[in-house]
Parts: sequence; C-alpha cells; structure tokens
Amino acid sequence: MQIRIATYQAQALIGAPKIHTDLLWDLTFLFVGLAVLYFTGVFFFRNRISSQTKKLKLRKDEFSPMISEFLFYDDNASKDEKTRYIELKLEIRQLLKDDFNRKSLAEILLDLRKDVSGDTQLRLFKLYKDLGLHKDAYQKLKSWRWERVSKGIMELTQMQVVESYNLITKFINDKRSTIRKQAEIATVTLKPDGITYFLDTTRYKISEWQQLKILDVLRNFEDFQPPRFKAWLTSTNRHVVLFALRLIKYYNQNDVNASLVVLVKHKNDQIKTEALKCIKEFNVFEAIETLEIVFGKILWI
Amino acid sequence: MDSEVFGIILEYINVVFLTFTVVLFTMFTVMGYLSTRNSIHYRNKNSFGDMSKVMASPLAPSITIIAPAYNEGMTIVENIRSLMSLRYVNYEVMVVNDGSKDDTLQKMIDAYDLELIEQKIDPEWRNKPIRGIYKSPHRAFSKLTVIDKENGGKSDALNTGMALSSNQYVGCIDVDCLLLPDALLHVVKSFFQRSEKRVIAVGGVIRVANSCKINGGELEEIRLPTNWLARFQLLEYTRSFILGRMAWGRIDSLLIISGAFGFFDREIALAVGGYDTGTVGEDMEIVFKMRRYMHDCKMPYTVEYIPDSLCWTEVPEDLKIFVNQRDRWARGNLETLFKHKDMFFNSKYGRLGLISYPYWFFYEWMAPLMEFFGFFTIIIFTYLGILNWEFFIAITAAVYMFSVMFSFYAILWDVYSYNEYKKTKDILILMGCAIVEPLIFHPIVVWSAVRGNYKKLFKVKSGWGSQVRKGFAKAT
Amino acid sequence: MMKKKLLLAEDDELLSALLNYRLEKEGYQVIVCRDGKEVKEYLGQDCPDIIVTDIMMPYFSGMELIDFVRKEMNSEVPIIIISSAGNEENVLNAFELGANDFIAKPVSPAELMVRVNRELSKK
Repeated sequence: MQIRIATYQAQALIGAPKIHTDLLWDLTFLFVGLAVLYFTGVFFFRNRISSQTKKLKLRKDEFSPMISEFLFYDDNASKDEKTRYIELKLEIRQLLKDDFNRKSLAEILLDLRKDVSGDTQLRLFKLYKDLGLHKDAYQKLKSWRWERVSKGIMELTQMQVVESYNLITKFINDKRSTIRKQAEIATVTLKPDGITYFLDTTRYKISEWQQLKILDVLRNFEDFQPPRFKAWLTSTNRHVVLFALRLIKYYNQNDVNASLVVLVKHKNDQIKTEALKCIKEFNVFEAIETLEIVFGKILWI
Repeated sequence: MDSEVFGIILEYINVVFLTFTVVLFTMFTVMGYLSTRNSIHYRNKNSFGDMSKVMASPLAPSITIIAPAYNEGMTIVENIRSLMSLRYVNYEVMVVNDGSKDDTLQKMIDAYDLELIEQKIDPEWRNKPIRGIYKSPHRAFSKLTVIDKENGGKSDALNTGMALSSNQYVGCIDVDCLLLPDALLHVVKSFFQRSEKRVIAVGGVIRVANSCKINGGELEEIRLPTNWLARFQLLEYTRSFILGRMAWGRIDSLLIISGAFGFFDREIALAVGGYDTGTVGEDMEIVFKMRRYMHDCKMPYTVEYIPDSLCWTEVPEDLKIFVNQRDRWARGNLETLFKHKDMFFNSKYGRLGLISYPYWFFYEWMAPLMEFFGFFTIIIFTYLGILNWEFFIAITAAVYMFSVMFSFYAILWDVYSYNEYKKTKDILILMGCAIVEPLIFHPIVVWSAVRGNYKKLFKVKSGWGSQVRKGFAKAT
Repeated sequence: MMKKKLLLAEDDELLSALLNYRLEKEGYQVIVCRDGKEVKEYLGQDCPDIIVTDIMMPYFSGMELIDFVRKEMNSEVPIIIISSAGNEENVLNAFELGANDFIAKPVSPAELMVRVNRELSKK
C-alpha cells in the first residue's frame, strides 16, 4: 500500500481557488494532531503491556512455590510442615483480596492445568475452588461483553467446575458464535452425557473445527461410554447428522446399516460422503443395491 | 484564446488528480478502520483454547508443504530441519529441487540419507520432467520427500508438488521462510472454522527476519533490522500486511496471498490448473483464478487471512535486488490484471469486480505511473512559471502528513497486537523511517514500478513464454 | 548418604518450578536448566545421576541432548524424556538415540517420581 505523494503534486496550477488551500492546511493540522496522538499511543501501549507482563511474571515467581506446596501437601506431613501449610493458606487468603493477584493466580492455575495430569491435576481443580477463584468466573458469565462471557466459560471448563454445567448450558444456542462455541465445548467436557444434551439441543451449524475439538474432548475422556449416535441420524439439523456419522465411524458403532443406506441418498454431499465412508468401514453389503441406484454403476467396496 | 484552452485543460487535469487523492485518503481511512475492527475481533475470538491436542486428532486434515528450491545449497539442510519440526502430525514436506546448479540435491541426500524411489509418472505430465523422487529410510525423516526435476521456474516447481501430493491442503512457501511451530494449527483452524462457505485459500502475515537471531531453524530473538532498506520494508510490510490485507480480509476481497506463505485447497487449485508458468506474478494470479472459478461455479467461498505472525523471511538488503523485486511485482501486476481484465467493474464477480480489481488497477498499478508523470508535470510547470506555489505547498504538506500519520497508526497497531519491537530506540527508528520514507524509500519504489511497466509495455512482445529464473527472488 | 543429582531441562517455567519442588521433596538435588545452552554449560562441568528433559527446547532440543550425552560424553546416565502430544515419532527416535524412558504431557508428578526412582534403582 503506497501513499501517492507526487500524484497530487501535479494539481498545482493556475488560479486554484483560495478556499481549497485553507481546507488543505486544516487537514494537514488534523493529520499532525493524529500523528502526535498515535505517537504517544505507541509508547503508552508499549509501556502498559511491558509493565503488565513484568507484574505477571513477578506474581508467577511469587506464587509458584506456594502453589507447589499446596499441590504436594501430604496429610501425614510433619508438624512443622502442617504449621507452614496453614500459614500459607492464611497468607494466600490475604493476597487474594487484591484483584490483580486473583487474576494472576487464576491464570497461573489455568496454565499449569495444561502441564500436569493425574492426582496433581485433581488437586489443582480443588485448589481453584478452595481459593474461591471460580466465583470470579461466574461473575464473568454475567457480563454483557461477549469476550468476558466466553473467557468465563472457558475458565470453568478448564478447571472442571462441574457445578457450573447448568449455568453454561443456557448459552448453547446463544446468538453470539464465540460464546456458543465455548458453551458447546464446556457442555461436552463437564459431564459425560453433555454430548447427548448438545446433539439434542443445538440449533446451529457445527463447523469442522468445532467437531475436531469436541471429538478431542471425547477421546481424551477416561472410561467414556459413548451413547448410540444413531439416534441423531434423523435430526433436523444436518450438521448434527454429519457429526453423528463421524462419531459412529470413530466409535465403530456398526449397528446402523439401515440408516446408512437411507443417508446415502441424502441431498447433501458431505453427508453422502460420510455415509459412504461408514459403509466401507463396516462392510455393509446390504447397501450395494442402493449405491447402484444412486451412483448408477457397480461399486467395489 | 490559446491560453484559455490551455487553462481549462489544466483545470481538468487538476480535478482528476484531486479526485484521485481524495478517494485515496478516504479509502485508506476506511481500510484503517476495517482492519482495526477485524484485528480486535480476531484477537478476542482467538485468545481461547488449547490447540496442542488438536494436532493429533483423527479429524485433522492432511497437508503438504511444498518448498521449491533453487541453488539453496548453503542453507537447505537447516531450512528443511525447521520445516520438519512443526507441531502437527498429519503433514509432509515436499522439497522440489528445480534443477539447481549447485549442490542443493547432494546436500539433502547426504544429510537425510535419501534414496531414490520408484515412481510412476502420469504420461500426461504437463510440467518439466522429473529426474527422481527421493525419500529417507529413517523414521525420523519420514515426512520428507524430495523431488528432483529440470529447471522450470517457481510456478512449475509448485505445480509439480501439487500434482504429486495426495493431501487435502497444500502450502506453498519459500524454502528459507521460518515457520513458527504452531503455524499449521492456525492454518487448519482457518480452513475449518467456516461452516457454510468453503475456504479455498489461507494467507498470513509475513514478518521481516533480517537481523533476527535464528538458531537451528528457530526464532530466538526478534530484533529490528540494521539495514536501512530492510527497515523501510518492515514499515511497509506492517502497513500492507497488518492494515491493508486485514482490511481486505474483513470484506472478503483479498486478492493476493503471499508466495512466501500461502495455503490452498488442493482440489480447487488443481481445478484452475495450478500456477500459471507464463507470468511473474503467479502468487496473485492463482488467487484471481481460484476466486473466479468459485464465482463461475456459484459456490459460496471465502479466502481467509491470519494476522498472527507465523512466517518470518529475509527481505532484500541490496538496492539492486530490491529494485528487481519490485520491478517484477509491477510486471506481475500488469500481467495478472490484463489476463483477468474482464473482471473490471464486472458485477458478476461481486466485490471482486467492483472493488478489489479497480483498487488494484488504479492504486497498485496505475498510481506509481501517475506519480511519475505528475512529477514531471511539476517540473514543467515550474519551468513555465505557472506553478501555484501556495496550493502546491499546502497539498504536499497534507499528503505528507497523511502518510506519516498512517504509518504511525500502523506502528501503533503493530505494538498493540504483537509488541515485538519493544525497545524505545527501535520504535523511534521506525517512526523516523515513517517520516523519511516519502522522500527516500517511496521514490525508489515508484521508480522500480515504472521500470517494470516500461519493460513490460515496450519490450514484452519478445519476452513471453515460461520464465526461467536465475534464482527465486523472494516472493511476498 | 549423598543426595542424587537430577538435571531437569524444561523451558516451561511453571511446570519446571512445580517438578523442581516435588523432586526436591522426594530427596533429590535438582539442577534446573531453562534451555539447551544452560544444559550444555552444566554438562561441561558436572555429570548428574539422572537427566529429565523436555523433548522440545530452545537452542538445543531434547533429541540433541540425548545424542550429546550418549555419543560425545559417552555417558550411560539414565535419561527420561517429557514428550508432548502427537510426538510419538520423536519418542521412538529418542529411544533409538539412547533414552531410557519417557513420560507424556500432561505430566503426572507422581508417575514421574515412580519412573525416576525406578531408573535410579536399576543402577
């Protein structure tokens, strides 16, 4: 994108009315003003971001050892350790009275959650609730700004605050897409039958990316018993049908032959393709006749 | 009598130039607004979620990254190594050795223990002949495929890669581009986030890697370039990539995806015949073609643009190479615009025909020429003593300040979005460049564009046909 | 009895701090390195009893570290790698190069303890 300077230079000519010149000088001053504004803006933002980062890092360094102590606290610890533990708890409650501290601590816990698993992760979730940080997330849900609501939902999801399920499911058909998507993921993550609720209730489209994320949640569940997805092959929402087909294929639910045969005749190409893939996967011989009718030739499966 | 007619003609010329400028001011302001909204929206939307698990998902699509290489012996091994360590599972790296005269191929064979494999080539192969396809027996390098072929130019190499790939999406990059580890995840997300429209292409921001500390294919430290030319280019890229393309992306009228970092839906790319080997502006031309195709087929589609810094590349620091690059861009512009001239103000192509194409025509192609002639007009007027000094100074001041203001805005946005150049000294240098640019950098750009157009318009008749390049001048 | 020296090479600050704490609680003397450069420096001066390294690190990946220790230092020090999701290929390569064990992210500190103790008791 180039600013063409010389182009208008050529407009200088005989007898241009005076008014134009005044207007031009006004514009020039306007631009100078804006330039000065942006100049200060640059340094303002730079400093703000830098200082915030520094502050956060300081907090991280401060809180890390405390969090470690909480997470690895042993019930049969020595008397000294127990005393230290209680002191620590009191100290943290004091620190949490400050907003920025609470925010930092929540961020730290969210960060850590990605890195640890097993017993430590469960303790992390418990710590989050013990410290009352989930209440801040609940507050975010009440905001009128979509970014805050989404962030709140995400936090509650990541920290597995199962009690928030009912609050969040209300957002599943929200008009604002980011909130909706976060709520969908939350619903599926927080309760094993969340996926059922989601497929039943959603009235909107489900993008490929969303399907990817939801499937990821499901396949990372321990001891997950998937529902029979054939129930959704007759949904009025064709995105639900498509997603159900993919889930059927992934979970190898091969008791759906009759429905597959019907779906091969569906008018949507993606559904047809997905149904074909399932037919191939499950060796549905009964489908050969229908396939010949639909595609007009013999197919080798 | 004569001087009156003369005066009227000059008045008309004046009106033309004034209109040009006013439209320009308005347009850039609108662009600034659109890109700001788009960026903020994007930032808020995408600051969620942990993407790392997604990369191994069974639903994640397959991608081929095609990297054409010509005489890159010095750095090819490092570049490939970095390409192979991206955080994604289902992808392959296809390096196309376009008849290098140096030891590019041998270096690769040595470093990765490559072996020739059997291949069946389509008898209707339309690109330059393939001399061999290589793969490594080591599990660690299973993602790598090297294709050795006769020299045919960058487009030909990319087409070869596209034809031989069997994956859903192809990425066309410059082999010495540094991609950040999460780049492919962002690309896949862009392809997959739409549920009604098909995403046919995804482009991204190119950042300037000059003087940055890069070690073993990883970006260690971001520094402002020390070379003056690179600094001006950095400012220019900031304006055009962050403000310009984001704005176009918002109204889904993006006409160009950088040749250094562009991903395409392979099916559509092949349907339009891949890259055109007859033009030097192939990266722009293929987007035109793909968009046209989707319009003609009446399929809802979109071209997405990712504002995250995912790709870092070196920009020319040598003046001669730089002028050649811009010269080539100008010729590419002209060739593509001419080839698709029926899109001009053609409402059949929606926003493309009514907004994007005219913009490229007037402001990217024609503007440098107008400037050049405008410059001479001033000289003539001054000589004839008819220059209205007051007006001239006023308008120069206005446009100069607009330029500086706009650049400052771009810098502001860069700091707000990425905060990569943090040192006060660096920011002041960038601002200094913004102030000095209209006097130094800009004339160079105009000159290169004029030269390119001159070559194309006056010498071209003898120069059509596939261009065998001396080396891959950096795309972008 | 002297504490066993454990070299922890991990660039994620939070995770590193957490594991450090846990390992020290278990009784190890932990040397924390944030990137490959620091690792190389340390290895130049001293050799730990066991190494726990992330597979991806700036300057010097976990793989290069294993290679360095096995070939250049010619050492049999047990190495445990921390790998991220989807990195199965790299894990296999790490074993080929000479790693002894691996643990996947997200890390279960309890499990890491088990593996560390096991590797050290083998000696």
